[in-house]
Amino acid sequence: METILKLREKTNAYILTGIVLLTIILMFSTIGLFVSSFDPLDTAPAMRLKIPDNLHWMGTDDVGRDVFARVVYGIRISIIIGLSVTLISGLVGTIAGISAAYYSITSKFIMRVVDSIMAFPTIILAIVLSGIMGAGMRNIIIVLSISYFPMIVRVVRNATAEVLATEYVKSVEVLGKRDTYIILNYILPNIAAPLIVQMTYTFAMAILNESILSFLGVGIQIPTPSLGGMVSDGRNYISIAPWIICFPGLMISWLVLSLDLLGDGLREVMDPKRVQFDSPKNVKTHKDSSIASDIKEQDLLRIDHLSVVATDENQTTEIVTDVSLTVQNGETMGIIGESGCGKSITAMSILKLTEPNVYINKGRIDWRNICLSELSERRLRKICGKEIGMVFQEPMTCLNPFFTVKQQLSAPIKLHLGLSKTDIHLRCISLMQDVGIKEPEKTLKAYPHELSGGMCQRVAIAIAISCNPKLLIADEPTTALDVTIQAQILGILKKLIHTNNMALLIISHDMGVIASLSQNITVMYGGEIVEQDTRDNIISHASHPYTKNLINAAEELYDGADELTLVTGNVPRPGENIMGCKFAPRCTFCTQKCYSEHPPLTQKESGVGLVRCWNCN
Amino acid sequence: MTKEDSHKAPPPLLEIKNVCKSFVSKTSEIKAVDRVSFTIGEGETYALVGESGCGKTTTGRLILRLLEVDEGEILFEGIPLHRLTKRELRKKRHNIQVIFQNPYGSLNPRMKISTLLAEAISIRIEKPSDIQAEAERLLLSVGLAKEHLHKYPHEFSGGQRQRICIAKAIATHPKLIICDESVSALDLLVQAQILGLFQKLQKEHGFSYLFISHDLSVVRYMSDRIGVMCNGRIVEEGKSDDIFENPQHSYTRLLLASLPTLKNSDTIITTDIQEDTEAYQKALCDVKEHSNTKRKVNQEHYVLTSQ
Repeated sequence: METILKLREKTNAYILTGIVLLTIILMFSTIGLFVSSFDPLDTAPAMRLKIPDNLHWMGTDDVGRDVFARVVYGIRISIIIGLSVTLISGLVGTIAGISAAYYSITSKFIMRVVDSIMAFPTIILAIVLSGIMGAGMRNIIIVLSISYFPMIVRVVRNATAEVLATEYVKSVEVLGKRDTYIILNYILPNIAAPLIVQMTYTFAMAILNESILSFLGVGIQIPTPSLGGMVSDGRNYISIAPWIICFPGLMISWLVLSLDLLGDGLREVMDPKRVQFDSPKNVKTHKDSSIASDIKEQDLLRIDHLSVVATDENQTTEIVTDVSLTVQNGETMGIIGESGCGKSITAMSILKLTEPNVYINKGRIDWRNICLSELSERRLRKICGKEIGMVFQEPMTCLNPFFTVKQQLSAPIKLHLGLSKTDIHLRCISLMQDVGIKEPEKTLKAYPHELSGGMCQRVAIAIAISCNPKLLIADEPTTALDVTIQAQILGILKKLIHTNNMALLIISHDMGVIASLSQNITVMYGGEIVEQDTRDNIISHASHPYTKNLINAAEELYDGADELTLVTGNVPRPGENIMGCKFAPRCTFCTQKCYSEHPPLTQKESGVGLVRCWNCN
Repeated sequence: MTKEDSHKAPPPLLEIKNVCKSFVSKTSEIKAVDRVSFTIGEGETYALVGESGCGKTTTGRLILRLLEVDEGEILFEGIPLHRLTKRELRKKRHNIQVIFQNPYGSLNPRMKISTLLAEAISIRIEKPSDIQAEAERLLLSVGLAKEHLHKYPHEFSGGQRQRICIAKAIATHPKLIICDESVSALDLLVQAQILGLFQKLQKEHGFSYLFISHDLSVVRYMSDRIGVMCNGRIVEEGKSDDIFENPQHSYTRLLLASLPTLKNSDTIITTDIQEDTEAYQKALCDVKEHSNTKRKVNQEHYVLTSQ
């Protein structure tokens, strides 16, 4: 039910076209049945090979039968066969697929049967089987069902295995529910999408193959009209009476096309992974030219009043609002905030690495004296890697599994520094030692899957710093790692910043990580900066209530406090329309003003830091 | 209930004796859980802490019988869980519930919250109107409103979903709840909310927790006793405070030293990266060589030794 509702919301052009085409042909065959005055089986030798006219709308064939009546009848036969094959193979395939995924004993048996059937090309298998079983509608349905159910078994088995591995199935298992309950309430609803898509294709394929079988003479028995059979009959007269072959041929194409369109459309709306975004290229971005770019000599990176928006089909949501920060030569800046606060988006925007539907709306980003936000992709790539290095959260996925560590590490060195082969090798080895890898030669020859998560992250850091970048952006570099490995990676980063005189922009949700690496800290909440100051000021006397809460929570946990101070409420959702301070509903110090007026980011009275709060200054 | 008096000779609710579990592939055999023994008393919170791959999650799944043990015994209220037939197990299962790490993956996306809760409540209550009332009561007790009953999981934030998972877990009135990294995916402030909720519910219902986590600070806050796992073994076990204040095993010390905090933020930075890595790898290798002899530090604190 929910699937249907969702479909109605997201119906796309493919589905619509498919349904319209299908309806037209169905109406054609139903209405045709009533308006046609001829019997599809009546032969009239005197009327043979008549061209289409007022009486015989589609002409007559070689024995004088009315082609229109036969086409109308043939469509019905095709649809009946297609539908039966789809339902039978769908039912058998679903049952076999689920039991194969569910019970390991039956799995081996079922999958071997399926594999052996799939070893033959479908159409050859169907020809052989119908040769053995004989022609006729019932046999065709059986033959095609046998040929097509293996594909459904495979689809269902894989989808079921995926659902079975989820934690929600594990937690219902732990409730002590029966297998049948789990299958009906958990498995079936969650595999419905791929199953329906596969069944739509089966429908189209069954119609096509029925036509092929009938064309070859092993399908529907003569003289019962079938589209394939008619094409077969007409091929001898193709030059003198093309209408005999054209009309049934057109109908086959029509039916298959409409079902394929429907299947493609369904696959697109039902599989969230295939969602496509509008390219932002044709979206006009408003560059704020009024902002003076008074870049100081030592400023490496300067983000000025940056706003980032995300678009989907219905709306545009601002996810980063008015963020300004600078990173100076050799400085370390940390951005901290909870998930969804826009910290990663800010970092990704610097090198335009965001998803295509997320783009800069206002403000600018300057790298030394180049405006990054206006730079073309090609020129940006020259700065990426050479002057700005980047390390991501998932060490395993950011390395290419098909290349060795050495190939991946030497690529940027070759590209940006243009060293000789031996020099590249020496540089690789010294980089490996810099990130604390003990056997550099051995690791260089390894593929990413042969390394642990911690090792992969070391390699990723080595790649990021391979061209001596001036700035390293590290987005949650240790979140996916264990604490002991995290400590090692933090140690490596700290040492590298020091020896290479490199600036660092580190993004994390973990106050401990941020505090151990950064001189300055930017605290983000709900897409905007709420506080910005030096590390010591933030940690020992934070101004903003949110920062205070964060630090307090971290300290309480570590000290083993008996009671944790609870901050109620949730992070505001992006796009939520909030007039006042975004933290007000969760804040213990908030006043009436906090709800009605949005506080600006102002200089702290006590020093250089900035804070966005009505009650702090 | 304070941490000190809650576990004075409690009758063991769960007793695990020398449990082993290996995963065999074509090329190798990995001992995920190796001679693990511990007990959890009624109303007690026991924590298994260790890094990824140390076998803590496998241990949890063995207790839930989502996996079968190779050797050893798992006794729940004296009944050997690992020997029950599927039918007998189904009747016992509601006693042990689980809350997983990922709040986005632990709720069936196609079910409304009311259905999700009802399926768990229906194990002990049969009348539909009572089920409805109980579902509302459960939602309130985990800090959500009864309007939420008619929504789907995707309409909630991570923290709210974890609350729903908790409501679902306590719906069967279990005696033991296994929290497998239940707060790891949550933000700090939400994490504090959920941990507070865990403690509040324990006070109200008196169930025991097996808390599985890699996060030492969370473990310290939650648990009465801690077992430190490494390479499938429990290398050290003791009262929460003993482990934190008087760690004996080199691995426990390493783990504690690795924790980045606001106060010791400068001390974790070692100048020699090579040495740091080697010390870690040595600690891991040493554990493999350990025999099954335990050295007692005090009444409840012991450490695995190499002799």
